Amino acid sequence: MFGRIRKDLAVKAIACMLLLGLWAPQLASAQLPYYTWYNDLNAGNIRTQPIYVPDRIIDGNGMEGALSSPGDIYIADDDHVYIADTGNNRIVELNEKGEYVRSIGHEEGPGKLTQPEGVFVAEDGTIYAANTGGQSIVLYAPDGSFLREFKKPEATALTADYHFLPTKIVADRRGVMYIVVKDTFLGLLRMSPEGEFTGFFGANKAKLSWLDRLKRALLNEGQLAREIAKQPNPIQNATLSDDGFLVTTSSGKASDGQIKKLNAGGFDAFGNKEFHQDNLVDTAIDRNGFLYGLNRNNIISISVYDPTGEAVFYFGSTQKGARQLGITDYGISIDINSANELWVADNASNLIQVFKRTSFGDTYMTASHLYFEGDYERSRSYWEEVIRQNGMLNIAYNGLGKIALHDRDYAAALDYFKQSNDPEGYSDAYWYIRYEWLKNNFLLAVVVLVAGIWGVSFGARRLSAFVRKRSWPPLVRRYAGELRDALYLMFHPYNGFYRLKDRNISVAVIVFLLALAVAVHIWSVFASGFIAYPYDLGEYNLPLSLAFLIVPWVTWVIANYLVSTVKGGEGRFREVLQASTFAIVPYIVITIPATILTNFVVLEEWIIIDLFRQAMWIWIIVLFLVMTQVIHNFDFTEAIKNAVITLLTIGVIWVFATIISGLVYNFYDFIAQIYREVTFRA
Amino acid sequence: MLRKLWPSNGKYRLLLLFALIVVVAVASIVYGRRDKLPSLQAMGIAGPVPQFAPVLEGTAWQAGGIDGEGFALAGDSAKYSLLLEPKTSQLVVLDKTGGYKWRSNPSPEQLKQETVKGALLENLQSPFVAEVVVAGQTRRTMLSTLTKGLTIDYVPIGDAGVQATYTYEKEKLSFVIQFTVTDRGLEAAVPSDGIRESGDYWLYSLQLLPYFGAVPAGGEEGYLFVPDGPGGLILYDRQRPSVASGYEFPIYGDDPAHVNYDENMQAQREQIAYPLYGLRRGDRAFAAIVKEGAYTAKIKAVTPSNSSRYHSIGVSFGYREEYGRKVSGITKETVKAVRKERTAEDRRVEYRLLSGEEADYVGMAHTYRDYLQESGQLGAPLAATDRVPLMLSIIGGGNKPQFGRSGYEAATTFEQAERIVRDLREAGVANMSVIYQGWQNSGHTYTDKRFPIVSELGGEKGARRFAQSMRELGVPVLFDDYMAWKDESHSSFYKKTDGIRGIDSTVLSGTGDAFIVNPVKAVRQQKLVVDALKKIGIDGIHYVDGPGSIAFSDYRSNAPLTRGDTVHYYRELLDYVREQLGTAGVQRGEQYALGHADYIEELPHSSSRDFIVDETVPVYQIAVHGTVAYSTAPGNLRDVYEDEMLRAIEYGAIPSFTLTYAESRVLKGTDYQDLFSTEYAVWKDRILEDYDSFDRLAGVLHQPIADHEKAAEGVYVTTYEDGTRVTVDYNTKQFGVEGGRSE
Repeated sequence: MFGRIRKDLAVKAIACMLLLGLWAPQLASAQLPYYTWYNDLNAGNIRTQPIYVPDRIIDGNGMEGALSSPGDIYIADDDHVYIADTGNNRIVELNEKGEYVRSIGHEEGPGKLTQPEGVFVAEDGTIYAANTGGQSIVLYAPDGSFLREFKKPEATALTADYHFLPTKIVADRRGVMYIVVKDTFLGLLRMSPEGEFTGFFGANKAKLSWLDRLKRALLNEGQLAREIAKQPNPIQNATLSDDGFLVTTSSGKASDGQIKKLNAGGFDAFGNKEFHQDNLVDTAIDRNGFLYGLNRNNIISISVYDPTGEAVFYFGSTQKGARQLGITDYGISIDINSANELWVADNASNLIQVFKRTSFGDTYMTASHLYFEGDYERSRSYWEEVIRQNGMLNIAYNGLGKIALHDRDYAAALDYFKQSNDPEGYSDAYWYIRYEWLKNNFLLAVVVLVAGIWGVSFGARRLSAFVRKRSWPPLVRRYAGELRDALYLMFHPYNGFYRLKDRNISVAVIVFLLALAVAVHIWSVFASGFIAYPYDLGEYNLPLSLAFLIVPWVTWVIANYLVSTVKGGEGRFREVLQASTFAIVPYIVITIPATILTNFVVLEEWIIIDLFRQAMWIWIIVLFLVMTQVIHNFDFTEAIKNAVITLLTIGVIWVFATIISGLVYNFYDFIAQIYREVTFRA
Repeated sequence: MLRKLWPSNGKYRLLLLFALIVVVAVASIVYGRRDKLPSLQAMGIAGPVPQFAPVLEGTAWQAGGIDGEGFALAGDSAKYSLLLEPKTSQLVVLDKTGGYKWRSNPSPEQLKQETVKGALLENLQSPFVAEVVVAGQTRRTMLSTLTKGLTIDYVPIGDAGVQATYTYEKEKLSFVIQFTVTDRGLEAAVPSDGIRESGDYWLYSLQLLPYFGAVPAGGEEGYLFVPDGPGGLILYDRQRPSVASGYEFPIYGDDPAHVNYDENMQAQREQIAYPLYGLRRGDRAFAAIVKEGAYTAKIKAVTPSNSSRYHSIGVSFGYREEYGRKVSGITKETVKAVRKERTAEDRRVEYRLLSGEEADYVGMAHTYRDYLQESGQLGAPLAATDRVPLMLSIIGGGNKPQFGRSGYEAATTFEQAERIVRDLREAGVANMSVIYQGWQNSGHTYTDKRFPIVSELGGEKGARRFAQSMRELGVPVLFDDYMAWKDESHSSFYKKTDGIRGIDSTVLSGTGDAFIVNPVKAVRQQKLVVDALKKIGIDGIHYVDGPGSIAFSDYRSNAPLTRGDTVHYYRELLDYVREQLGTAGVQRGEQYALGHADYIEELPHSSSRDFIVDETVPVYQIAVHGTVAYSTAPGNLRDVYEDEMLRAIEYGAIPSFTLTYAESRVLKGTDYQDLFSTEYAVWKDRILEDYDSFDRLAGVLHQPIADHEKAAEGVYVTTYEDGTRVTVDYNTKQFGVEGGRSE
């Protein structure tokens, strides 16, 4: 849930930054028509140097006629490039440099293609064409001669209104074909090497909103039938990875799993995860499992995902009437060759764009690959180089942290994980440090602990004896007594609050306790362990967090007094105020040890801290309840009732405050505008 | 007396008191907001003086002997004669030595093969294409010399040429074009005073000589030259995607005052930095320089497509602009409208004809350089130097979110900056300059809240000590500054009163609170900056934003400014800064800033990567090298490290780096966070390595580039005046320096 909001924000942030780019000349050199963004570990998007730069275009010079609406691009193992040149009714083969080799399927006779939109080449060199216009699959031998043609297979599942318009095709090692058929929600059509229908494969599932679920639960069958059926995203494209997975790409928001990595059984390795790009049209996958998604989004055109399906980089841009290298108009297909060049077919500009990886891209991808492989030792030099080339990326520090952890250099690991805002890594490293320390110093620790406890209790006794022996000025005695009462109240709420009735606690003590609570809160932010606030503390909004504590308390005091007065409570305002102040003493008392403890526990033990905190809040709530009962002399049910009404009143006060501040702001704005107008005319 | 005025009634007393308070408050506000900026006079800056070329009156030109194609002699110079066909005003420039004819339009034989019809065919035969609109409408119609109802009156301009007055009867519209022949070639001018609009028709734009020297598809060698980035070549007869058959872009980019920042979201591109275009065919070429009226002109190149068989290039002068007029303040809806007032500017373009050796892009660059020199727009030649200067940008730091507020985080204090400079000096960097950035009090870029200098860096005292020790080391120190765009929250200017107004007369608004400050006010404010920096002992100002990189109009009704006016003030400011402090630096360094700046950061060095542009060539560099020091992208912020290093060498740039003393991550969250790797310790070795490489070119820094050529695929040779040859090989990532003084 939170991750999702953060992602959406991230995309918006990209849009904003892009707009900013319009009015602000770039401080960093802007030499490419597009920006590259990095989706950093625990930090959102930042701009980086490019990982891919546009290198050249294949625009039809020396190709026996320019390309016309190319529909698909496939790069074979020998790096030869096959293009479904849809408008010219042919398959074009280029060599690894992009030079024209031959055309296939354009000659009259068997195997003549009409509007082919997909092409695939098997390991043995057999060329498969998705002959969309001819509603068939056509196979050619490696020399380009016609082998055979498959029409729509006969099967009861394929009814008459199932139109066999194949647009993309892949075939696995056994020759089983997986065919993307236009405008169907049924998934890929699977066909045996002999052309027999063997079922649908990898269909998407429509995502149901809570409203849909409610409808399903409430409506009867007849009513449901009248509802517009929720259709899942149709599959746009399919790609075969080196390790035999079938990567499907779907665009739209109607279902999750915009990219799926399916095994032969149809199981998605990404677990139908939501990719936050709903304009994906095709995906390329490299040898190391990194994915390159082609988007029709006007902010970016290519998004790079790591082998776990997390977005890493975004770059490129889409624009109507694109006229620059690196900008696509209507991208339709993407593939990657063994030199890690990305080839993108643009259906509207009738050309192929080739993107070349930069040395930074190479370094990063290698480091990242080794990181995911768990080969930390080899990844070290790459991460170090990444940091030299880009000092902003958290993940590089995270990688070094993992290496350090592996090398048992826990102190360094701790520092690296802290730099990369990674609480899990930090916790792991800290666990080892603590473990080693305890191993070496266990006896000492026990001795120190025992001696410490004894020393503290002994010291406390001596101190109290000393305090009792001396005579103190009356004011100090009074304050001390009131503070003692505050502590007493924590454990004996009924008696404690009774003691407060008809009594004026000194203002100094009230202010002292409130100030102490604020001070303890601020101190807790700075004194907490890294795991409590796993990011740059500068980003912590201190005033806001204080407001979240103070505003509810203040409104509680006001609302409680108002409600109780109306409901016949006995408490005066002074009483409500002092009782409410005493009720937050547990916050002070518990936050201090909890904060200290956060420095010594690891993530797995975090439940202790949570328990502390939850107990504290329950405690405070109980105290407030008891306070309402005792101060106003209610019985138990009345107290509950009044507490609930107080909460409602708090809500009402907030609503009013919002409205009034809105009105005041409007009035202020009105005056300010008049002032501006006057000064402008003057 | 006073007692009489004091009302006896309590109510009136109160009222009077209230009125008094209001009056005092208003008066104090007006007084507080009075113009406190120094005056232009105090800076010795005068406003621009508009000057218009005269329209000639006189006896009609008598066409002499008419040749077979209908042309008559209209002008003569030592090298060329101008022939004119009176009916259509078609021109021929005849090279007297070789007899070569440069035609303003395709020849009659070529026209016979033409397949287009109607207006397109008429345009092919006209020396101009004018676009007109009916008042209040936006639909444009085209006029040419073949349009019905046209009368042409010719008046001779001495022996040099003719002035043609074109009067359209139906449109009640007339304008004047003066054609003169010079020793260099042809000059065409459209005086502003010659335009008469007596009816409902408004002149929208005028394409001048759109088909001059046009090359038909098929068969000829050569290219069109467009000023994209450093310079771009469009080769003939290439298969192109249909989107890439034309190139039409405004000189110096779009006027920001014409851009709707809410709607326009487009890919990044390099705006045109200098008003030069050209064409090469075989061993002939021309270079055309837009001498006047470049601020509202577009360069338009066309390759063969459905509407034309020709490769052609020309200039299109805009007289009015179409824009979206806001219907109400609440919605963003706009109605298309055409600006009523006509831009009052003379237009002049000179075609310099080249042949033989000079008939290529290097020749174009050389003749452009000559023009700049003759017209006094080029700076004085640089002094010869033994060691190449290193341009060191140092980022002080910036504001970033801190505990819910914003706080300054230092990346390089003055003391640390000094440490960097001393360290580099000891390591062998003999010659360098420093641009110190991020010193402004607000902690942001695009700000004018500058003083007092950020105390985290050392404050004014630290700055003074830094300047002092740099002076002892002989290292000039420039402070960076921003002139045009501002963010309201970090600016002392008021967007509503001080921001420029767009073409729709509302205050121009970029994203968020961004606005462009009126250039006169911004220039006047600079006196305060100059005075303050002078006291500290700073040697100059480097303008990251403003002079040299942006030119805009201001459509405020009481004191409108054209782009030319803005440029005038900016140029005067640069001169003022140089006079007061010694040095001025600019970004990009578009033509109008040449000769007014000592250093240009990132002189356009990369293309927009248009499909249509086949090769990128350093024409602008050839034109300016030796008169101003310029850099390409900072060494630590290159996209592709080795290639861009080699490009800097090929283009004759000086080395530059942008550094911080603290680790780069300190800048995260500040306005500088896009600078991905700046830590000095990380870069030191590579700076020294780069410096040694660039230092091999120290001897040619003050020399003009004599030649530039592509020796092989990926291998380029730049030759300097004294014969030094710099060979750059992008395949092996090596470069070599041979010949010249060093041997």
